[in-house]
Amino acid sequence: MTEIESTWKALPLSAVGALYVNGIQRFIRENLIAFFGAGTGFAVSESLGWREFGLGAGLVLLAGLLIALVYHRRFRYRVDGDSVRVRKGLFEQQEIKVRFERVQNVGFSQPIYLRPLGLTRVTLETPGASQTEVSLPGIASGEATALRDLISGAAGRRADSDQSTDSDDAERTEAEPAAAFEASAADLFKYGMTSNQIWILLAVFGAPASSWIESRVSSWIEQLSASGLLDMEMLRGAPLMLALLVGLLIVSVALLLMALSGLLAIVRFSGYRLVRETDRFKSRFGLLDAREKSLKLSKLHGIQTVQTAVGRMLGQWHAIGHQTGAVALEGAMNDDRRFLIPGIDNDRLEGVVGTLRGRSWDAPAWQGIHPRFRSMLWGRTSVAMVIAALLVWLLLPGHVAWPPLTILGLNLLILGLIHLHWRRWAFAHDGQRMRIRSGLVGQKIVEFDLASCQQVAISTSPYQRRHQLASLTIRLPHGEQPLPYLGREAADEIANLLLYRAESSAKHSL
Amino acid sequence: MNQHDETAFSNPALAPTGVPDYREVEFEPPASSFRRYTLVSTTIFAAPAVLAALVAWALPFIPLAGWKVLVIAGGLLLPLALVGVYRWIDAGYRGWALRRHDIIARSGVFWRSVTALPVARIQHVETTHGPLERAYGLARLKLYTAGGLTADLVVIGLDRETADRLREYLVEQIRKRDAETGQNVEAETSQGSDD
Repeated sequence: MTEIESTWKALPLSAVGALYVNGIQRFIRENLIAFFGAGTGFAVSESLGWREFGLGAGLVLLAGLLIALVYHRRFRYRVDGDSVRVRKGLFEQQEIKVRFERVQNVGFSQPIYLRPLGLTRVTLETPGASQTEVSLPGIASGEATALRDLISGAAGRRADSDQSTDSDDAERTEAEPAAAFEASAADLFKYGMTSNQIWILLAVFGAPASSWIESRVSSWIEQLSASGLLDMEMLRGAPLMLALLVGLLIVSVALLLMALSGLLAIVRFSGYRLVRETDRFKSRFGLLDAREKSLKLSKLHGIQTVQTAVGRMLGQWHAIGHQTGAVALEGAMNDDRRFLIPGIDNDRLEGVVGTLRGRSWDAPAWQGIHPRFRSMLWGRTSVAMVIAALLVWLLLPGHVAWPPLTILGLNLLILGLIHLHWRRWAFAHDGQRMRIRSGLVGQKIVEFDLASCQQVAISTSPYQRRHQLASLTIRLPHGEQPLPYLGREAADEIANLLLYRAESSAKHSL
Repeated sequence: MNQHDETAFSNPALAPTGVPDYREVEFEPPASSFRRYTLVSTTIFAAPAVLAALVAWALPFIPLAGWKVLVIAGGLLLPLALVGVYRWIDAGYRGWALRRHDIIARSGVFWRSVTALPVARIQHVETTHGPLERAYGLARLKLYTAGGLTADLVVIGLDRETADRLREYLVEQIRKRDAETGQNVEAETSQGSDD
């Protein structure tokens, strides 16, 4: 084990490169939309050419280098017996101190450009706001492991004074314990296809791509009709054929995006391995950016399993281990803080959740929410849609029939979706542990100990009061979990039970 | 094991009837000046609209007849008046209760809610009072739990003394808890005058 001395240290000089690449990456990521806007602008505008583009890019790159150099110059860190301190800041100096016992997650990340330099990026996550997170953008890999062992060692000593388990643990780490879960490339590909990130891809690439495709397609069509291969008159005469062609185009674009998303998932989570150690979980993954995340058992407050709509067809799930306060950054592009386990198929789901839970749990049968949830939404949507249809019918000149009929058809579709949504809502608890299911076509199941409840709110609307109903909002360490439309008695009973468990629990602060 | 030994629950075994029922608590109403405070604060909020209407009425070059300006101003003021009425009624529904292990607050006229926050989950307690609240001797109590960025529970319309007493009591509870669990979670008190 590398000894860590307790002095103020600068990052190694080779880390400037890491800072630079990281900074540029972040700049691009945070201004992605602006970049695409600018790209489209360049493509459309005649007066701006590649020279201007190069000039602008060069300026940004140069400024980035300058910032990285200054940042490196001013960055100092210091590891003491029980804490890490970091001093940083371009213009004003900031000092952050994180005590080891507050750290709930030590993350390692080694992007491909750091590997030859032997550097690792270390992130220390603490519960609470993201600003309290401390990251060392590039320190020697050996030092990084030593730091992690120091931190988890401090936690281990605090949990029990038995030193032998600690050394046991260390030895087992060396010997690489059996994986609790491994995802193959096929699993990951499926995860990528089913994950919602394809919608984000679509949103990001959609606008510039569609204008490009449009110009391409129209020029193709012109070429084709000019060559006489395609008879535009014939197409115009066969609207069904045209619709089929357009449909085929949409489906193939969707499939292409799904495949792209699947490949991205393989690159990102390549070789995913989940390992359980005495006091924490560890996951290792990544092709270009080799990463290691750890999650202390004592900080794991909830297990979420998600199956997207596409995932349902492929029998594909992913799981998230929830920790305190990591909710603010949810979202497919920013899920860095979440402890995500991708690519779980139906058969292995119970096993993975059981591992995370640390024991088996015979979950009681699902109980649905009250049918009035559905009838209330049905009633309100239908009234609104019928009024809209009537208005459209009255206001449109000539009282055309199809627009109001379309609205009514849409209404039927929405009613169907409401039914699905209502059917998906369900909960189950055995007095100690609870799980709540929600979703539409896909589903999300959140499982937690009743004792980890932070706050509970019982709310009633006038409608609910008339029908003896109430909605619950349970605040968990990672965020809020609603549970709408329960019988009043049942809601009060669950609220009382949640409070009782939280207040009589030995684990008093989270 | 329950750390509040002297305050342990009467029935630790879980029988459906053994769990304390939050519905049994008696809610304390807000301070008596709270209703007047809601009225005055809504009026102050509405004042710019009234003022603008008066100015527009007095200006010679506005091409609208005087009564039309008044109708427009009335249309602006009506929602504000409704908000005032709502807050007045809401003040009557509000209430809070402190139990040994949690603090419960109630609010809302149409959409009513009762929120309970276990004392053991509180990380940070704060009382604040703006200038107007100060004039009426009022304060609000803000309670924060782990992980949240904003206050998890805000009890408004307490009289200053009650708010300070509650804060001191809760901070003491947190201190006791931290001393017993050996944890050192930041529990601070702060008195602000920003609103």
